[in-house]
This record gives sequence, structure tokens and C-alpha cells, in this order.
Amino acid sequence: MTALKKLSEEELVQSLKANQRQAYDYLYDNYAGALMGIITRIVKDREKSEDLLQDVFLKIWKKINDYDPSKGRLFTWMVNIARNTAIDAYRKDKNVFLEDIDTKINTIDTTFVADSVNYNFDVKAITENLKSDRKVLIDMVYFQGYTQEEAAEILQIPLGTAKSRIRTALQDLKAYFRI
Amino acid sequence: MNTKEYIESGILEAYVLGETTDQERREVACLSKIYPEVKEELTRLELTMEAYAKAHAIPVNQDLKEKIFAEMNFEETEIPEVLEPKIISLWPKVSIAAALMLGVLALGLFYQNNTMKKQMVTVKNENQKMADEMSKDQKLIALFKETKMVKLKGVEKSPESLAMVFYDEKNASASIMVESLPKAPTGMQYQLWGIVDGIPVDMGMIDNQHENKILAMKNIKGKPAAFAITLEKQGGSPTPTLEEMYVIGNV
Repeated sequence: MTALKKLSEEELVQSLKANQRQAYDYLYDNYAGALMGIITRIVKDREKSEDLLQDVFLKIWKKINDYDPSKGRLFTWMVNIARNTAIDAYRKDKNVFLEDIDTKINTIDTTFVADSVNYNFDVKAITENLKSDRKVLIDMVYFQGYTQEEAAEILQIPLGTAKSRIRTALQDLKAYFRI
Repeated sequence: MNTKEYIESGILEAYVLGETTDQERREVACLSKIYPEVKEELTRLELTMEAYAKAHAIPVNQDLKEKIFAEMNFEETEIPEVLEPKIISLWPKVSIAAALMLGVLALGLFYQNNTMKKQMVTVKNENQKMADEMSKDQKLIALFKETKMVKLKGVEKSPESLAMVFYDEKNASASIMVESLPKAPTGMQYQLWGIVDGIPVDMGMIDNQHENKILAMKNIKGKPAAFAITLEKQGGSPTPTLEEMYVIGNV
């Protein structure tokens, strides 16, 4: 099998929709780790995360024709599938959909443990470049499936403040990644 | 519309974090089609979160990949090779071999032909889709230059619904793009209304095949304060059935 060089997003999507194995190889090699990072941070269980990554990847494969490039990038679409799958599984497991927000305040510290295991150079550099209160917010919403409202409540800041911090954080990250 | 304000409102950030309602998602998708600056900022934010997620990647092992790929099946891309004939001295054998070869060849060709046909259909569909999208985008750009965009939001009855009316004040002309409306039941059709001095004025019927289309509607006399869509019997009604209103938006 010929190794695929860096594919443009358009080429990739086209080959995925044509159900070409090479395209899925490329997708897995380039994105499975990032999706795994998101899933693991939500369910906080390595073994379960691997099962969920399988579910997510198969969903991507089955539903690829639902993906509409005019609505955004492929990765954003895949992340939404990964987050929803992981959040559903986590809630079903822990039955946390009835959990009171107060109990969340007490558990929030332990939920960050997942991060410390996987610190790599990049993440350290990012953390140094992003104010911690902003990174916490981004991670709660993006990696742990909290809504902005829940995150604001847990951190005891007004929703408006949370929203503007999230915006600033993304602008800082944009500059950091030079995008 | 003030796109700077829209970009700075934080909704695009919420979008890339997966933090928007279905209606907001459709709105962002629609506006990013119309306004290049919205699209550009959205793409940059998406790339940012992509880089962020990659920086937080957790390595996955090869075993898992094999396990997952074992559950999938793919389009065969290689064309089966035609068998090399062996040299056989006896005529009967040769004729059998020839017949076999022909058979294999025919099968191969048949298979190849089928694969190609399939590919052709895919390519054709893709082309058509792209052409549709492009003509839609071009129309949108032309519209956007001179017109006011009015967002018609879903009312309580159908909060997921969304449509955009492009209203050209100078020519009193209007077009509509439906982002989402429930499928009209048989014998029924959506009708657009302009509210002029508190009175609903008929602006025409919305084709049931409205997906991915921008529909030109009737011109309207006077200055509309709002637009609304109701579900009416096929062909329309002289006055709107208010209980069947799906979306409304102020100019």
C-alpha cells in the first residue's frame, strides 16, 4: 500500500466518501490520537476510551456522507461525534445526568488528573502561554463536556465573564499556534 | 449585518467548542456561507482547536487500529489481473483455455466496467453538488451586496426552524433561503408573508423542494416591518393561519 503524503482536506474528504482504505488509514494515523485525547479526558478510563474510540471511528466511517464540508472542517465534525459518544457513555455509566451541580464542584479537582498523566512538551508550552483560569475553562468545555453555563457556575464566575475568557483564550491560542 | 460584531460576540468560539444549539449551528453555517470574513474566522478557530486537540493527543496503539479496521470494509480499488495463459500443445486444451481466458477476460472487463460506472456516478454526483453549491454561493454574494438580510427564527411551535429573507428595499424585491423547516405534509405548502402596517401581505409560496435553493418571492409594496412563514393548503391562502406560523423575523 502506498503511503499517503499530506492530503488536503478536500482530497481527504473525497477519498473518505469514496470509501478508500488509504484515506481511513490516513485519518486514523493523523487524528485517532487527538480523538483519543478528547474521549479519555471525558470518560477518564483508558480501557473504556479504547472501546469508545472504536465506536467513534466506525461512526465516522458509516456517517461520512452526512458530513457537509460547507458547514465546517472535518475535524470539528469528528470531534462532535467523539464528544457526544463519550459524554453519553460517561453519563450512562455514572448516571450523572441527575447529578447536582454542587457535587460537581467537589469532584472537579479529580477530573483534572487525566491531564497530568499525559503532559507532553506541547501542552506545557501551551499552559505557559495561556492564563490558567482560561485554560481551565477551555478544557472543561472542550475536553470534559461541561456547558459554558455549568463551567461558569463551578468556577463561580458570571456567564458573561466565562464567555469572554473563552474568547480571549481562543484568540491567545490562535496566536500561539500562529494560525 | 455587522459581521465584526457577530465575530466578536463569541458565538464562533462556542461553535468550535461544540457549545451551540442546533439553531445556532445552522445560523453559523449559513452566515459563514454568506460572509467570507465569518468563514475565515471560523476556519481559523477550527484550526486552532485542531492544533490544541493534537497537542493533547493520547497515543493509540497499532493493535487497536487493526481491531477497528477489521470491522470495516472498503471499496475495492485494484482491478483483478487477467490470468496468464499457459502454453498447451493440444488443440482441445487450447480451445478450453481460450474459452476460459475469454470468460475471465469478460468477467474482468465486466467488473472493471461496473467499478468505473460506479465511480462515474460518484464523480457526477460530486460535480453536480459542487455546481449547485457554487451557483448558490454566487447568488448569495450577489444578493448580499444590495440587500438586507432578515433572519426568521423558529417560534415556540418549531424552535429548530430557520429561514433567511433577503430583502432589497430599493427594488422592493425579496428572496428566501430556507435553512430548516419541517417537511410540509401532502397537500400543504409554506407561504411567506410580509407585515406592512400591521397587515400580512402575501409574498408567495415556497416550493416544497426548497433545499439548497434561493427562491425569488413576490415583490412587496410598502415597507415591511417583519416577515413570517405559515403552513397553508397547497397554492396558498389569502390570509395567514396564525396558529400555523413557523418562523418570524423583524426587518
